[in-house]
Amino acid sequence: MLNTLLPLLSSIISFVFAFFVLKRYLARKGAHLLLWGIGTIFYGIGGFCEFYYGAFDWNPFIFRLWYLFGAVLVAAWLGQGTVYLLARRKWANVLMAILVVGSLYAVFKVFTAQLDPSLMISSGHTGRELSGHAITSSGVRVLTPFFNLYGVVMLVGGAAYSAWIFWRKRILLHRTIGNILIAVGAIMPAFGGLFSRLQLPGALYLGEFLGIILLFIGFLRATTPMGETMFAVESAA
Amino acid sequence: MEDKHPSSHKYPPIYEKIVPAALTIIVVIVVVLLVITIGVALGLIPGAA
Repeated sequence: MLNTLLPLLSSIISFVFAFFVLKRYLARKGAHLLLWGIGTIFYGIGGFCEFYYGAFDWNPFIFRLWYLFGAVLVAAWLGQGTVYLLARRKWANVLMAILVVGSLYAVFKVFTAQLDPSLMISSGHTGRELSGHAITSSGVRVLTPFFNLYGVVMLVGGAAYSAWIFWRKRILLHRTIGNILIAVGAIMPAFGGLFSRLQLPGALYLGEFLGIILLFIGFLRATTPMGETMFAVESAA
Repeated sequence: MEDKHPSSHKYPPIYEKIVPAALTIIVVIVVVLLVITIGVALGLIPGAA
């Protein structure tokens, strides 16, 4: 139940979140909103694939989609949105170009990788959650730390930095709180992954579920001044 | 909306305590996660995703 319901809920929340972000992008433009919207769509695809595996068992195409979007790309693309928000446009464009090239390479590697689902049942994994251990080809799983490192530094670091700037100046409290929630939300999937390796059932999916909830609440909080109703402001935007 | 005289303003007392504590915890967690991620990338810690 945990292995189907939690990722399904994560996926639904992700797509709803993406709708709000992309609606804001259409109203206000801003590359950071577009990239966050794309990143949350990736989050939703990853969650859907996890649900699919829990409900319908192994499918190599679904696994490749999960690994590409859920394990490799999501953190980096969310982080790239923060880069566009905080960094100079020239550097953001350079990093975007590198990310696009890296992502295309990841697509190639993931979709040409050899798979063995039996390897998902191994030390540290129960087989009830998707795991990169199913990939037997070299040079694929090594991609994940680089993309995730970039994503963690940019998304979590960027949100924490923004919160610190607002706090230092004692302005825009709603953005301080929102960015803290975003930073914590972005960290949650990493904790889920860590606890999953300790064979806590459902830890990975629970981390992803809590993460997307906090990210969504954080986004709504950051875009809604204190004293105003979050959803009312969003619907008027 | 933006405050041009930040020194005369403070957040509500509860946020004056919570915000720096939360940011400190976040920074510590990020450092730990970075160490683990770099360790996995270098093969010092077993297992990527």
